[in-house]
Amino acid sequence: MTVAGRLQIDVCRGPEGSARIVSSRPHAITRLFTGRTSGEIARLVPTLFSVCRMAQAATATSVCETALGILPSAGTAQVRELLVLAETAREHLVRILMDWPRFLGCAPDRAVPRRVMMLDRKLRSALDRDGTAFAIAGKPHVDRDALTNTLGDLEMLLEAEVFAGPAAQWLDRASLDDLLAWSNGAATPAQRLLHRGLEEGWWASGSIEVDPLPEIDRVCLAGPLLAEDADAFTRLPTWNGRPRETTPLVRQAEHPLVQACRDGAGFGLGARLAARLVELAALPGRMAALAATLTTEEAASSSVGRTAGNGRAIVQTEAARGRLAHAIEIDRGIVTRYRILAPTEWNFHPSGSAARGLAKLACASTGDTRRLAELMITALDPCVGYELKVQ
Amino acid sequence: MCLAMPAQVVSLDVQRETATVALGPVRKEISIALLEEVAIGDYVLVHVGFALHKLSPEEAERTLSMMREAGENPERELAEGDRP
Repeated sequence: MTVAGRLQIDVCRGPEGSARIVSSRPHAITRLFTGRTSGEIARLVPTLFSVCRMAQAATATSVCETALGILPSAGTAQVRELLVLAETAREHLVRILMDWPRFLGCAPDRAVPRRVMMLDRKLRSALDRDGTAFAIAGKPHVDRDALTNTLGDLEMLLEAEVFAGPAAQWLDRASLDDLLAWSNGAATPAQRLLHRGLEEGWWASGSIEVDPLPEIDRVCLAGPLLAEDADAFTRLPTWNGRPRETTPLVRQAEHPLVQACRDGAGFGLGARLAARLVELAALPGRMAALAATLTTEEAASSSVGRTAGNGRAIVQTEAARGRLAHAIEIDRGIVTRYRILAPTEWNFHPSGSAARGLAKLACASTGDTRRLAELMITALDPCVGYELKVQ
Repeated sequence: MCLAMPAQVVSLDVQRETATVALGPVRKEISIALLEEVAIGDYVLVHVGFALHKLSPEEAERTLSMMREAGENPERELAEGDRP
């Protein structure tokens, strides 16, 4: 077992196709948090969990503040939300620009992902000039001009490298015919991959009934997540007895284009790729709307409130890969229990969406199972490495 | 769980956009395609074969000591982790 862990994924082809997923992801790392103060947790989490650093940091700080009865200002909460959205855009872009070209048999244009990383750094710097956004009761300083300019740069990058046109207009597409017409342009890797899916017949491959992770009240989630034996839940989570999915597909399931994908072919590979594009296309608009509300309140000058914290809290954040939950118990300022439930545990549960989608692929008599299995895994996007065996 | 390993850059192949990083006795080739400027001696965070960010030697040491404190072995993690 390694610190980050990995997934072993075995796919067996044939009429009774199957997929077996074994995770070696360790959960002991949160033991490090017991015996520490909330301030230490807020510093530790983004250092350790550096892939979805913003989502992890936002959730950790928020869970500590809630347990302690600290209410961050509305401006601080907005800045944190913007930082998580910027990270979501970065993660989607890296998948689309680095991973999708591989399935087209070509090398990615590496200058573009590098621009994405640079934009991400600029956005973070604009939103949190002095790096205080995730301190307990932090009051970040926003550089509004830099934020506006960088959001404009992000829109231009999406237009040129992904959507071959304004992202907001792309969101008006509502049918498979619209999507096919767009993909015919073939100017970006996203257009070319979706075109292949629609033309080569693998659009519906791996189609399953998705069982979405519902909104879960924090009181209900506290039961399994703060239980003595919570490790069993965080390793193999189920809700009402069933493994659930928490992905961009679930978040975007109501969008007309994703609905059209489902109506035409079910929730298969194509719907998953389309849902990621839908989520990405909406992000600049969501971020600009949030940024506009910051003009009425300067995060750094607003005050911090207090509520009756009871030393126990659960906070859930929609991270790039799905919903992330942190749970905490604090006694006299010292953390006595800390748990993290990451989206990969839901999505790559042995009986979850990845396993069922891969098993469906394995039943198909045609097609390149390995290539499609890799595409399915990339579409569900685990936050750890994996080894795939196809027999 | 979204963990990345700190490691130090010991050599660079600018043409291929790769670097060899070291952690203790372990050496590994990784992609530096996502970073703008990397120099020999820099510390980077490595995740599934890619350098994600640069970090200071102090941050790297703090992260590594926390992982060791949790009873884990970062050197083995780097050795066994995925390639780009």
